[in-house]
Amino acid sequence: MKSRIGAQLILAVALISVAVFALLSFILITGQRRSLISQMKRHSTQHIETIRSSTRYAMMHNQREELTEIINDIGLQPAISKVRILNKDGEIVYSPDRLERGHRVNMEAEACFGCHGTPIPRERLAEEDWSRFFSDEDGNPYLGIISPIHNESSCAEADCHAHPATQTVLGVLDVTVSLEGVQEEMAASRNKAILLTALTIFSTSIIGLVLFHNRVGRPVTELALATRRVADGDLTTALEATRHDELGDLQRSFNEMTRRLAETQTQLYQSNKMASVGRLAAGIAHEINNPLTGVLTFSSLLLRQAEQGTEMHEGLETIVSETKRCREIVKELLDFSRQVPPHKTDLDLNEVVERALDIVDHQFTVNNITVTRGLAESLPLVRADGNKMGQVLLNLLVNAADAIEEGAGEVFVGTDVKEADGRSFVEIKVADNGRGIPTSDQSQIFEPFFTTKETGTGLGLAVVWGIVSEHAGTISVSSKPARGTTFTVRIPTAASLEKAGEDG
Amino acid sequence: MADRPQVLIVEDEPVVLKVAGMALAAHGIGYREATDVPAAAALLDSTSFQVVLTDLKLPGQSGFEMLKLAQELSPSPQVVLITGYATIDNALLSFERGSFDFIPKPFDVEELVSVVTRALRFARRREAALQVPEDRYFLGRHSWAQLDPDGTATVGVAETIAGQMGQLDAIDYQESREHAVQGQCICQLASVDGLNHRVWAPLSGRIIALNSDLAGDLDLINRDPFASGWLARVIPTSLEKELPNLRQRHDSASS
Repeated sequence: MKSRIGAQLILAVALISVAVFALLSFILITGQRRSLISQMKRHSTQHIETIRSSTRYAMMHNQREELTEIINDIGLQPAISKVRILNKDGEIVYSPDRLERGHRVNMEAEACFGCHGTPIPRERLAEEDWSRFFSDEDGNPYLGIISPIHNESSCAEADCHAHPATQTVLGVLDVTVSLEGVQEEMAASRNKAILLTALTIFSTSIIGLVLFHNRVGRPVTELALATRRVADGDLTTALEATRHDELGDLQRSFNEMTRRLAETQTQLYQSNKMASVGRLAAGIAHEINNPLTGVLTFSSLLLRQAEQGTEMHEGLETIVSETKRCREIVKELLDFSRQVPPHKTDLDLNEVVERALDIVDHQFTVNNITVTRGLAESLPLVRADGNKMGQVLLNLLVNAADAIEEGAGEVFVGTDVKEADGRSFVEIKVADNGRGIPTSDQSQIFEPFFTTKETGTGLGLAVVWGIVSEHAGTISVSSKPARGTTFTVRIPTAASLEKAGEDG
Repeated sequence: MADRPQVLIVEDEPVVLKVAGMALAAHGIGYREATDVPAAAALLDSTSFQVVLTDLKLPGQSGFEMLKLAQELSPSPQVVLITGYATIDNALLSFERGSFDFIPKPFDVEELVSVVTRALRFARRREAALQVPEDRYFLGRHSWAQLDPDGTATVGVAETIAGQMGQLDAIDYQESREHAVQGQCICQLASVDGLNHRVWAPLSGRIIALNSDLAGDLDLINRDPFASGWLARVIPTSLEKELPNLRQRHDSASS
């Protein structure tokens, strides 16, 4: 995919370059040609004027030998391929080419058309019409310039009386200049343009390919690979997102997506587990209740009949109290499995915290535990079930107290408002300086039936987890053995839930 | 007395049926047994019982049908429901349907006998029922809550407990952990005859005060349950949700 996009890009750049360069070259070369030709014309015209003035004297004085010499000299110049003077009848009078002299030219030839195109030949020709372009049989380009030689009074009155005064045009000065140089220069320009175009296309292609590969191709390949890894179930995949362009954004949003996916997966996994554990617990509890009733009633009946102080009495007492303990465990299991939908109201979590602290106050005092409060002055309301949130706090506080071993312990309870992912949360922290949770256990503490306590069903934190997720919240733990544990609960504010509802 | 059957036990679980019978027999209470609703209905037709003790889960039918059946009789026996588990829903539902009380499984002999004894006494002394004040919210005929202007609520027991326990010995709030939960035990009242009567809280809330007068005269609960015999003052935690489960009574005495 990478190479195809790259190739398409390069091809597009090349095509555009060719088009642009071709157009530019055409405009430039045409302009150059035009200016070269007009320069050539100007030069030739000047040339012809020079010839005319240098031959004038010889003509005036009818010095034919001298005139021939001059024409021959001019004819030797490399740029000039032909120079000749024709008389009115088209006879070549002077030319460096001896063989040509005395020949008549075809008056209907293209060169003569300027004046002889009309039935009565024109006697005056505008200067710009003097010149014309043509090619010889071999295709060599030439510029032909014809300058009519007009009769002047000095000519008519000259001693030689060669020209009568009635004659307006005496003859024509015909110069032919080779344009081969111009043609070569043009070709060179064109070749230069083609070379430049090729070079530009080549270098932009190379630079483009390298840039594309580094800036687009590689990150896209990495993304594709990462996507495949995620698809294969590896949700720990993360990209290094150091760039600040659109692809950087893409990398960051990919990471965010993976993170959220992982979170959702964990939550789903937990929820599923909770649900099946709940069903299992409810089933067991139902089945176990009847036999437990039998044990409890029979043993309590027998206990009445047993004589006080006997071994029998003691044993039966133990059976009764242990069966009652079983009953409590079953009750706890059922409470856990019973999915009572939360009854949510707009709630100030500070009040919930205070209420929970009031309830544990006595137990904390007895156990010599000091509570530090770090409650925010005012909290935004959350949509929550007061009883259930109270249970979360109670469970966390009781856990904190249980984590504190002999001696004075400290428990910190704090609330705050936090922003994350564009949503606002009320955050509750419950921290203790107790024995902490071993790192190996930290991933399991929210699992049902996981417990490190001597007594306890291992449902406390599972219940907390269930309630927090019922409220679209999160709970996390950080703990250092022998230093203490901090639980952080986040519940979205009512306002941010409303916003999410509107957005979604 | 013991020969005359007073209680009909309806239970399909043999163990529970057996122990319930033994427990009642141990207290000299006569009973008959039935394992399903039709059998129970047949017995109800032929014999007049004062109390029906029925399991909530019966083969193909529910204890509520037993309750309905009993209520159609005249005089109707008091119905005590044995529920598979103590949930607020079960408690509220059984009170709402007009049962005398409910006993969550598993139970011990005392818990069973205490309720049945009260039901029997209540059935016999119905004519001497107490005047019921109208400003109370009742959980069945079991307990009440009075909402006070300062936002707290006073909680006490109603006529199915008061006057049915005999002389009282002790009150024990241990189980409620200073926090009452609607439909769950707020305190236990021990009577001198060795029975223990569990009181289900009408409201959830934090307990802020107990009736100190009871220390001097526990019998206030029996004599004056709606006034000086109150049990506790609580700050309700979910009044809005729980109040609909309670009802005010405008008739006097029992129904």
